[in-house]
Amino acid sequence: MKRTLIAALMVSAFWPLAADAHKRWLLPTDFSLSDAEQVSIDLTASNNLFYVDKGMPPVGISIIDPQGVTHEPINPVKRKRRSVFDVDIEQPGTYRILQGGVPMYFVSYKVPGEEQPQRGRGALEELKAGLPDNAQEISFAESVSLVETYVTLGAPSKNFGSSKKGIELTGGDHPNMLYADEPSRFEFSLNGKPAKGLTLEVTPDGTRYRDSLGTVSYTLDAKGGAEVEWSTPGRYLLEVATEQKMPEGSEIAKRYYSYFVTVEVLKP
Amino acid sequence: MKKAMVLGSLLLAALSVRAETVSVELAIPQLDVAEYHRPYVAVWISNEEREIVEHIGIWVEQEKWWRDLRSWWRRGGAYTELPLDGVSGATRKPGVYTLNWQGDLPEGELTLNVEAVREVGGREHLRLPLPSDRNGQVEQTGDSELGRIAVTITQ
Repeated sequence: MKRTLIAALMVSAFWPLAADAHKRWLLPTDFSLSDAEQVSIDLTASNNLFYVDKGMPPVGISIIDPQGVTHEPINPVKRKRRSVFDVDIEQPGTYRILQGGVPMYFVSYKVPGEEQPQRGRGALEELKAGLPDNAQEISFAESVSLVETYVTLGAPSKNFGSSKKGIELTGGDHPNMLYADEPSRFEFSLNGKPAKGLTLEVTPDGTRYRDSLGTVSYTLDAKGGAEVEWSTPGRYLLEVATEQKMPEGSEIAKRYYSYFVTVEVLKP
Repeated sequence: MKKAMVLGSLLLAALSVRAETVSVELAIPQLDVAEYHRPYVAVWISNEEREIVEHIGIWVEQEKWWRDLRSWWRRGGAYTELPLDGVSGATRKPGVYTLNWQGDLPEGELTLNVEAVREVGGREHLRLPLPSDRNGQVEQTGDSELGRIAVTITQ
């Protein structure tokens, strides 16, 4: 438990809030396998896709196998520009590889005599307990951020997220069965309900070699879904993010949610 | 009485079945390359939804690379247990081969797919729409990994 908390703290210490403009992504060496194998996965934040730039601490990572059993990453390494870990893909079906998805809390407050507001992050109860008696203008924020990807051995199986916390991919086409000449549907939920009205941003690989990012935006429909048209075969990053200002007087003043998934689109 | 019923049902079954014969002539070209490996080849018939309805031929070696026949793999190869009797086998050297298949094809527009992929080489996927009346020949010639493909269908 303590370890998980420290892990979460380290993650959040690096990537605090939605204001961070970097894209975060997990990129596997393979998305689709025909024989059991170990797959290496890059974990990085960058502006360009998919070029490693800032290695993120390889903590808070879960590998969920086709039976729903959670595994630890193998050989996690943090380097300056990239972090990487391995995953054994041994069972037929779809593995979900993720980082985050756990609510994190932030506090800011002022104390008399100090110009700058004080800040803290961690579990909500700990933050509350750590407040000085003379703290004023106390404001809490919550953040749930999930970065994930999918890898399939043999025939694909259903392995979507179901924590009902933050933004999750919950339905639509299988993320390992995408073709450049067919639109693909993705459905998202926010805290377990359809993520209606949020914006899905889809960016193809290779931003370094074109003048524009090439991001296409979709507004999620009543089911929290969108039909994505692919411009070319290749790897894509899909992002959904939102922030909610809570009503005056709420204990949590603001909630931030973000979601990133890396997928591969095949040439027909 | 019982005998008559059996006979009747056999007759019905025979009437509802339209057996088709598919013959595929497939050329694997001789390539002038520094490092040559025989291609992995998949030949199948797909429906309008691009789903595999019949396998005609699968020539492969190591399981690790089956997924590099990427159209075949994601369209249904991943769901297929190999070996397939009379269909799957080892890779072949350059030459012209004939694959024969006989059976009942489903209704609707069908396409014959030939996909070839070569280690340290390229990949090519040819699609030959089959005649709607299920009679006749269509052909196509590949640009790189495949030579002339001619498919004859009769019913």
